[in-house]
Amino acid sequence: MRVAISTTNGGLDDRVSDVFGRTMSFTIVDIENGEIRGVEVVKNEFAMRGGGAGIAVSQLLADKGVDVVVTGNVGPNAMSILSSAGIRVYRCSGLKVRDAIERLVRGELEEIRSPGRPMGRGRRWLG
Amino acid sequence: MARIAVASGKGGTGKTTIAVNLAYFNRIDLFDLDVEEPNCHIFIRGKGKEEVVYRKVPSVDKSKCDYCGICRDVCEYHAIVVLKDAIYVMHELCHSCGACSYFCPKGAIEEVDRPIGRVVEVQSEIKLTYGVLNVGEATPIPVIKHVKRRIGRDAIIDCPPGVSCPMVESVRDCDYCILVCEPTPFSYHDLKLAMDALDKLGIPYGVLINKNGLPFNIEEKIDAEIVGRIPFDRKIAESYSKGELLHNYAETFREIYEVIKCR
Repeated sequence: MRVAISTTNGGLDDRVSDVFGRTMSFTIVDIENGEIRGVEVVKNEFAMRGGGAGIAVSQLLADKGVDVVVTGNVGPNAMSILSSAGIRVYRCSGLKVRDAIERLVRGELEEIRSPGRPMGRGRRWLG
Repeated sequence: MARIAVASGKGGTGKTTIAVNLAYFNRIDLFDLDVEEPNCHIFIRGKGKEEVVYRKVPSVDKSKCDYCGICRDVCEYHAIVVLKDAIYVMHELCHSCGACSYFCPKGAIEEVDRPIGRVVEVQSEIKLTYGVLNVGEATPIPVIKHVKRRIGRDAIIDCPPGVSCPMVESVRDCDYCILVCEPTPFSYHDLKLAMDALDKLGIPYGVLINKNGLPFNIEEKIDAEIVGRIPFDRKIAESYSKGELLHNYAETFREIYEVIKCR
């Protein structure tokens, strides 16, 4: 299972950030049988760019073969792309990445099924 | 003889009041480019002739698309998402640049018309032309451009507030710009931004002080010509709130136009 966690500097000791599209980085963790097998930090190039950050980030994570996203909030556009790509989203913020993964593995994180408030201008559900 | 834009920086300083009365009392065509919330038509009333405004957005023929992702890569605005076996277009983010259809190697993308607003023309004592952007649309620029095509040689142009793309597009082809301000620190701050923008665009401008008499001396702080002053007068606000023109100040608006005409 590949898990992408929204973070600031990235890494297992960083904390899960509240924002998705505008988060500074993603810490991508590979998990097998409940064990962490690999950690990759991806800088979010879209954090400071113009509109559509959530969309661009969803595309990036889909391309990276991510199965699960852990973050604070996800807007409507990003949410619909993530679910189209078959990526599940779990809510968590403020926790250390390491602890968030532990809770995810134990099935203790809440799954986000409906989007939060849109951040940007591209508010639309995919038809 | 001149296309005169009325802009401000800060909202609520009186752009519409100035534009409407300036146009009316000098019998000049009026154009409302504040297409996100046009309101000149509250003052210049009449039956309108409407035309729908469209803009181009991509439409994907899924039988030809092989999900290669080139359209997504060339889209500067993240308006296209390509997954392994699906493609989505986010119309609100699209800027109608056409790059996706141009670069698609399979010829799977066609540009189609999407209605985004309308242009309305009202013939009253003067002619008013205004644009209306549909609710939910992200960019007003295409509607502004459509209204601008109808501007002749003489015009008073009511611009959107701020100094971002909609304002820049509205003032761009003008001969002169009136910056309406009020004597408040907030208005002074935004006026400087607007002056800066017009300096960079190379458009000559003058400042009109509305609500003159409020206790903040904006006049001594700005280095620009003052083309007029409208007093801080409760009667003006009362007329405005009823959608009436400022007949008591007709002469003032004629004088302001005389001053600007000579520029």
